[in-house]
Formats: sequence, C-alpha cells, structure tokens
Amino acid sequence: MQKSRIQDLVIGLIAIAIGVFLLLNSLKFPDTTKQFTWFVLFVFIGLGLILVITSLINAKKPGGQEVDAKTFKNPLTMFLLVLLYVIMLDKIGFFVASVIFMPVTMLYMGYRKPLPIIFVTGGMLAFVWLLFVFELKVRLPQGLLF
Amino acid sequence: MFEGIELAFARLFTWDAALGLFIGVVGGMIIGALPGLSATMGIALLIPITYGMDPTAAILMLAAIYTSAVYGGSISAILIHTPGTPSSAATCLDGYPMTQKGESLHAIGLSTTASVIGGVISSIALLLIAPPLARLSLKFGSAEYFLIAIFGLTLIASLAGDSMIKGLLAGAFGLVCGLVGFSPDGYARFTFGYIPILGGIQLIPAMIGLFSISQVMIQAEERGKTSSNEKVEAKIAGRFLPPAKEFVGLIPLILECSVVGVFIGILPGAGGDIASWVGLNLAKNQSKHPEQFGTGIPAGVAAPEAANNAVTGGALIPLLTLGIPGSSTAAVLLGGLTIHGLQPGFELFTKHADITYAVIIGFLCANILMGLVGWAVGKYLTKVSKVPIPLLIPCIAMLSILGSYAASRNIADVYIAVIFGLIGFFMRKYGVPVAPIVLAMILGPMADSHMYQGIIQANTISFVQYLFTRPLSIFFMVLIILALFAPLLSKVISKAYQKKNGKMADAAEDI
Repeated sequence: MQKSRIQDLVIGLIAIAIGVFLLLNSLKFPDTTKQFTWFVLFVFIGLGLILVITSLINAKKPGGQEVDAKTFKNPLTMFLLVLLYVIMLDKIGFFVASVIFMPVTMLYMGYRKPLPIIFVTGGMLAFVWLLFVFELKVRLPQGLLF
Repeated sequence: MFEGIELAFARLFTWDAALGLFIGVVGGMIIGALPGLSATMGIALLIPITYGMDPTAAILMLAAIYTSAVYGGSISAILIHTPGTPSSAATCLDGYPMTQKGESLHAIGLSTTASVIGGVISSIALLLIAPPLARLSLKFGSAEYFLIAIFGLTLIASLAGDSMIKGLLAGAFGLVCGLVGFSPDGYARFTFGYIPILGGIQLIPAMIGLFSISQVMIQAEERGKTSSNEKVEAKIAGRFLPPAKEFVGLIPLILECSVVGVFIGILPGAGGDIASWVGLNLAKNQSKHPEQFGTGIPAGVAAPEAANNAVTGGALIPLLTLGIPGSSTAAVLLGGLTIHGLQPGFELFTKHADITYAVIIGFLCANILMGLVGWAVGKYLTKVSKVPIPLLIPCIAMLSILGSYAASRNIADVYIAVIFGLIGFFMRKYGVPVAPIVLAMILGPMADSHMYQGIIQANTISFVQYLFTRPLSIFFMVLIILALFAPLLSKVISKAYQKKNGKMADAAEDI
C-alpha cells in the first residue's frame, strides 16, 4: 500500500472514530437538537468512510503527498514553545512571558544577532503596550509579576 | 434625501469628522494587516473610546475602520500567508504565491485597486439602494436564512483543492466544530462539562489557530536553513499599479465581484469572509484556466478583494435601515450606533438624516482615502516580508496569542487557538485544506438556528414543504442548484469548446 494512501486511510478512520464517539454522545440529546446534529455527524462519518474506501481501492496507486514524520520535530518543538508561552501568560503575565518567549524563539530558530533580537522584542512589546494597554485600555493577562 | 445630503456635507467638513475618517482609515489598515486582529475586534475595542466624540465622527471612524481593516487584512495574507481578517483568507491562496514569485508589490497593488473599486461601489449602493432593498430584506424569514447558509456551504466543493473528499471532510469537521455549545433550543452540545465553550468554539481563535499558529509551526521547519525571506527580498520587484492591459482585463471580474459582494453584504449573516470565497469561486468558474488558481495569479487576488470590500457598504444597508447587521462586524457597529443614541430605522433617514448621510458620504470618502494611503505606503508595507523568518515567527505567534485573547479577553480562547493550530498544522501537512473549516464554522450555526426556527414556523407541514411555500426560498434553492452544478456545467462547456476548437484546428491543418 502506498504511504500516501495509508495516511488517507488513517485520516478517514480518525474522522469515523470522532464521528461515532460524538454520535454515541448525542443519543441523549432532545429530538429538536438531534436533527441537525445527526445530519452533520452522518455526513462527517460518511465522508470518513468514503475516504477509507477510496484509499483501500486505490491502495497501490500513487497519489497525494507523502509526509515524513521526522520533519515534525521542529514544528512540534515550536508548538511546545507556544504552549509554554500560553501557560506562562496565565502565571507570570503577558509582558514578562513575552520577554522570555520572543528571544528564546528567535534563538531557537537560529538567529544570533543580539541587537535585532532586543530591538524587535522591545519594539513589538512597546507597540502592544501603546495600542492595547495605553490606547485601548485592554487588560492583558497580568499574572504574578507585571 | 437631498436636503439630508446638504446638511450632511456641513457635518462632514469638520475637523472632528476629518480626523475620525483619517484615524479610521489608517488604524483600520494597521488592525487589518496585523494577523489575528479583525475589523470586528478593532471596532469592538474602539467603541469605548468614541464615547466623548461627535456622533458623526465616531460612527464615521468605526465605519472607516471596517472597510480599511478588510483591505488591510489582505496585506498580511499576501506577504506572510496569514490573513489579517477572516475576509482575506481567500486572498492567501493566490496572494502568497505571488509574493513567493517576487510579485508582492504587484499583488498589493491589485488588492488595493480591487478593494477601492469594491468599496466605492458598495458606498454608492448604500447611498442609492438602501430604502427599496430594505423593504425586500423585510420579507426574509428563517427559511431564506437557512438556504443562504446552505448556498454558502455549496462553495466548499470548490475550495477542496486537490482532493474533493478531503475538502468536504474538512467542511464537515467545521460543521462539527460549529455544533459545540448551546443548540438553538438551549441544550449544551458536546461541551463535556467545560464551561468556557458553552457559547461555542469562537471563530476568531479557531481561525487564528488554523491559519496563523499552524503557519508558525510550518515556518519552524525552516529552522537553521537560509531564510526564505531573504529570497523574497531579492525578488521584490515590479510595479504597484497593475499594468493597463491586465487592469482592463480584470475590470469586468472586479465589477461583477463588487456587485456580488454588495448583495452578500445585504444578506444578513453573510459577511466579507463568505463574499471573498464567492468572489474567488466566481473568478475560478469564469477562468479558462481554473487550474492556475492557487499558483499566484492576479484574478485570484482581485476577485476576493473586490468582493470582501464591497460587502462593507452592503452590510450597512440592512443595518442602517432595519437594524439587521449584514455581518458580524456590522453587528458590532450596531452597538456603536446605539451608544450614540442612534436607533436604526426610518428615523435614521429623517430625524438624523444629517448624521446618516454624512456617515454614508464619509464612508465613500474613506474608501477613496484607503486607496490613496494604500498606494502611498503599500511599497513600504512590503518591507514586512523582508524581516528574517526567525524574527518574524515569534512576532506572529505573539500577535496570534494576543489576538485570540483580546477578542473575548478569555484565556480559554487562547488554548482553543493553540489546539486549532496543531489541528491546522497536521491537516495542512496531510493535504487537507483548512479554509472549508472556517466557512463551515460560520455557516453551520447559522443553518442550525434557522432550520430550528423554520421547523417551528412550518408548524403542521414539514420543513422541506415549508421551503416550497415561499417564493424567495425557491429563488435561493435555484441558486443552490446552480452553484452545485456550475463547476460541472463549466467543465462540460469547456470540454465542448476544446473539442470544437480541436476539430477546427484539424480542419485548418487539412486545408
């Protein structure tokens, strides 16, 4: 079976699994809520099923893009950095979290010139403070420090 | 009307109004260009600062932000593949490939020109056709709104990209996301006891996640490699204003998309996001080479940009005459009107005619000023694409997080954006388009609530029977059928043409 077809098969199976899980969860819904909900879920499961069937029928035919999971290392690390940033926002506030997140991310991405790192971080945060805090009076997450 | 216009000019030519207009245009452009900040959010955030302003200047500023932010959204869509507003998501598809080809200035020029034309046409429509169309909009019921949503969903097939099934699956996933939260009859659906999503998955954080955070993750693949932006820097060339021949060729499409955009703007609930996809679909269906869309062609930028800016004036028509917002941004604008003691309706065109017409004429001026500012600073805005990717990534991430938080000031929305970022990343990597999710998330709840209301209104007959009892519903059903079969029909016609041309060519060779 072609790798791209296996990927499609997995996507289809995930869709079916989500759809069936939600369908089972919706059994207790009132009839008026069920109508549109079931319509959507049956369409979702049906499309997942079609994807599974077509990927099995065309199992040996090449098609679609093959993805190498090894290339996910950097994007997933970036995702973790963003997730940590969001967790930090809640704990130590927006500005302190941003002062840590932005230079760390720039360094992680391989940028090594200190002046642009300081200038961009400072400039962006000054802009956000001026627009959101000073001008628009938006209360950004403050946390423990600032 | 003419007396009102006369008084309006007196109100319009004041320092307050001029300043409101200028701040609205420039501020809207910046808000729109920043990923994650939408016109809706910008207006919602700025309404409190208009308390102390003259009503004309205040409403004019908010209306100018609306149109200018829609245009500004195209700048980040073109330069960094991150739509500044939901309305510019469609522009990414051809705008960003143009940037990759070193034609960013050209793409922004096209976007500016199309946006100005779309905006000006919508302003004229607002000025001229508001009263008669308001009467027609009064006849819209739940059945029609439901069918408008279904009409929009038919577009998913054309957004599907390489794989139709994956595109439709993405659309269905968007509908599933739209189910989360209270159902129209008040039942908490698929919330699993998590209170922050009782009101549903908010569109702005979901969209920021799908488009921006997933883009940050994709760009992280470039870690340690030569910055691709340095390549972009070398390729930035060309002219801002589109060449005369190209412009003349695009004019019919731009005008058509503008008219369609005005119409969509008038339809309650359907905003610039839907219009831009309809515009793109229109351009694709009319093109002799639909397969070129997505590779960076001018029509792919001009069509959605004309359509989404044309929505702005259209959306103000039912807002000002009936109090029915034509889009989510118009709904926020309604709050602005109310704060200043202006109640939409007939009174707005009689008792407050001076303010109303000043806003409408000022809105026309805002669209022209938007073009002038765009032309003046457009070339400088392309400098955004020269920023090295390692510096750009944390800025986009920070603005995305900020945008998803500031929309409702709820940290739960930030987590939603991050989760959708991860989903969007995997979907994009495995060839599943993310745009249908956004479209379905907008239209799903709309279809759901109007279907529910329609069933109640249908009373003794079935909902389907009820649809056939309403002439306007039948009109929309015909539109849906046409939309469903249009791609197939255009393929058959184009094949027939190719066959005919082939035969003619063979005959010519024989001679």
